[in-house]
Amino acid sequence: MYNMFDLAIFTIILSAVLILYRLVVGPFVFNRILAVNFFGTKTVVILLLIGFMYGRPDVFIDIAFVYVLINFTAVLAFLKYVESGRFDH
Amino acid sequence: MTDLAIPLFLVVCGIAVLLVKDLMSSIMIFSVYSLMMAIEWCRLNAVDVAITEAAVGAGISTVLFLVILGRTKSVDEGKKHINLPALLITVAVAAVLLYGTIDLPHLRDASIAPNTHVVTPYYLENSYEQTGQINVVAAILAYFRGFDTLFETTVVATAGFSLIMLLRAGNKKPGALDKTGVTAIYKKTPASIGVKPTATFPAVLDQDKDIVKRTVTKFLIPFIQLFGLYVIVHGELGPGGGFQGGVVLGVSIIIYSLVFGFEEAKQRLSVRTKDLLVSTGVLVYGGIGVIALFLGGNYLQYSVLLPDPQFASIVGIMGVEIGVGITVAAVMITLFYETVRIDAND
Repeated sequence: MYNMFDLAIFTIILSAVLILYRLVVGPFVFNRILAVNFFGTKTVVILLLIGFMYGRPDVFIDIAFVYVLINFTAVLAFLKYVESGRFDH
Repeated sequence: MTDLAIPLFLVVCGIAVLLVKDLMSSIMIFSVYSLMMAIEWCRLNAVDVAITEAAVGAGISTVLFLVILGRTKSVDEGKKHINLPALLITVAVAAVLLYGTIDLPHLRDASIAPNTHVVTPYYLENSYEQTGQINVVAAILAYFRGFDTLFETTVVATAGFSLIMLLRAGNKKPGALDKTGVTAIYKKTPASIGVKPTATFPAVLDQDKDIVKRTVTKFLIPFIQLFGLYVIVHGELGPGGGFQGGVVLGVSIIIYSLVFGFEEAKQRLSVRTKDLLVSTGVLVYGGIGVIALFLGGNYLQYSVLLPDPQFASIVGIMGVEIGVGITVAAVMITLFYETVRIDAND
């Protein structure tokens, strides 16, 4: 018997599989950047769902915070690379 | 259901990394892999590992891969041929690793070594009385295994120094030494080494171009730094500690450099200050140990620092975590600064 959180996590992973297709196939670099950003959002949701499932959301909110703040860096780096291809200015 | 779905997703990501031709797409899929990996750690209830994966895997390593990519080419232009010995070695190593997974304990198996070893109940029963740490992982890292963590921090600092010596020494030119004997290369501007500012130089030409990025980053960086400090000092209660918080602090400087430019970032945190910070963290950690020696205890015995032993342990561990955080943050910034900088002889 699966509980609600399990089903919700599974549904989000299914939607992540759909976006993984867009990430691998492309065709443009902006599809991929958007896909990476999407994954960051879904990860945060899954982390919080796991937190509620294990009954200690306070700990998992900390990890989700790290994701919210750090995933932003990766997207900025991708944008910078697409824009100029170099990082020294 | 999720027991199967997440590992399957990881395998699909791993295969996709190999199949994609463009290296930048590989890096993107790899960062997604890292996100999924952290979910897996969380599902296995290893929250401290998950927060490390979050900070290092998704943030720093993606940025560093991209920086390296910025200095090479994104598409493989070499001839396609199969190197037979390399293929054989790879297949052999993969076979050995797969064989090793047979001996791994099964998920939710109660009879595995960490559950049955004598030291585990000791840590679980005594960590709060002896150290005042609610998070047992922090107690083990900073108190029971304090020497290990000290040397880990030293290893991180050594890696930073090695990188500085490798990348900066190669750029040394006759006459580039100033009076103190330190190379003066980082005092040069791009114009002075012959790199002309182009249209993609937003700091000088087009102030309004990146206004969304700049405004959002300006708003976000204080929160990132505050959260980094929170993770460093909050290790006794929740997940995290010096390593994770240090990485988050380092990321805040890297974001600043990505959006406002490398020159601007060097004015906020100069290369010299950053070099000093790398060793300062180890000094703080080792210094707390030496203070304990002077107060009559053993090296890194926190309980002698203050009259109340438990409170002294809390203060000592927090000081140690701050030291680790300083070193890790400085080394992360070192990785970025030293890799990004393009000099005259490149």
